[in-house]
Amino acid sequence: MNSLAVRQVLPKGAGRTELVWTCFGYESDDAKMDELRMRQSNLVGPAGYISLEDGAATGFVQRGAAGASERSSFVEMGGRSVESSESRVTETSVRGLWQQYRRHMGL
Amino acid sequence: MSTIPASRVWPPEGLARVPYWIYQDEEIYAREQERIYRGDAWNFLGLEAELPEKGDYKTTFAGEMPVVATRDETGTIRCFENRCAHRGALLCLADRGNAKEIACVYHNWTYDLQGNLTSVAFRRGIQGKGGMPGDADPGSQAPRKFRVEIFCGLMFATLSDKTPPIERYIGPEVAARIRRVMKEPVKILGGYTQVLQSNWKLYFENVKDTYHASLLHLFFSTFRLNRLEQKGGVVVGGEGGSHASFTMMGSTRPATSTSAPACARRAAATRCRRRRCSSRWTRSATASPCRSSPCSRGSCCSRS
Repeated sequence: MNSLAVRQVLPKGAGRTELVWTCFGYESDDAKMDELRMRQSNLVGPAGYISLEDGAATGFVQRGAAGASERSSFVEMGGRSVESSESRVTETSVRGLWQQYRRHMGL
Repeated sequence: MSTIPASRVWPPEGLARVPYWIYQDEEIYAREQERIYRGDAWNFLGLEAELPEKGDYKTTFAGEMPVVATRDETGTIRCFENRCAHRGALLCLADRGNAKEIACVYHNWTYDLQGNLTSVAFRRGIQGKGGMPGDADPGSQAPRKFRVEIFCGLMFATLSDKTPPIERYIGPEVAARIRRVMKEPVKILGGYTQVLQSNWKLYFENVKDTYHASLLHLFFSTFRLNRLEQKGGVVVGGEGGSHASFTMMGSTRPATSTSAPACARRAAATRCRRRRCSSRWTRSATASPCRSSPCSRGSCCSRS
């Protein structure tokens, strides 16, 4: 893939979030490469092949867990610790997020 | 200071469980604003390339707090709260622009590009009548200024003096991979905004979840862009909150793993297999999706 993008995650209340995607290329890219990068940016954004599904999936969790505040998600793929992995069949990075989050939040 | 009910205790299993109240409670949401977005975390503001000229500004957010990011008259990137010292109105209304100074539309109080209050309209009244008391200090309610750091053309801001420098915060493992992508000056091609009907942390998890990519997104596996059988991995850095995931060409194991769930097997079966390409089909340099039968399987073939 030749598509480059950054994104900001902006909270808009406990149940709502806005993503801001910015697609970019290198200053040294020629017009053909600009065109290619823009064409391939159809993976991301509100109607992107990938991002549309990600947005749907996070919405499914918010709705699915609406009556289960006291229950938890099960995050043991790849073990229970936080470390780099040579496999992507893992949730190690998700556990890493919670490690840092809990420290910030004092939870 | 937000208070969280005593019943909200993290499950004893630790990081292997995430309680659903974390995505639902208003008290949690309020504490996140205090301790993360206005606390000891860096807020990503965007690309420095979005503000190429002196006087360029953009409006964005640090969590819920509206902020302005500017390139001031010295060329330095600044960030301050988008809130007038007077009555709290937004100072900048546009998404982006270029300005020599910033004036609040409500009562025309003005600010420089660093967020300093520079004038108060009719401060001394008119002909000795009206105006503010001599000892008034309207600057005491001035917009808060952020500490700004640029890393590889990425702009970050924090209100805290305790937040470690951005490169240390990200960690060397992930910083090295950012350097690899941001290897030269960049230009903006465009952008999107996207509303998610979920808590912000569910999206952070989604980004960090390397497990879902080829299972949820059949587009990836169908077009051979990303399959879990490919070589790759995930690098976790910093305090755990930084990561970089990657895939490499080639497989580590047979493509049709018997342990793969049915949906993954289905996706694998429909992808284009190079070895099944007959002389009627050749590798395409542009890898455009092929639409015509009999090759309905993927991206690598086109009619010769």
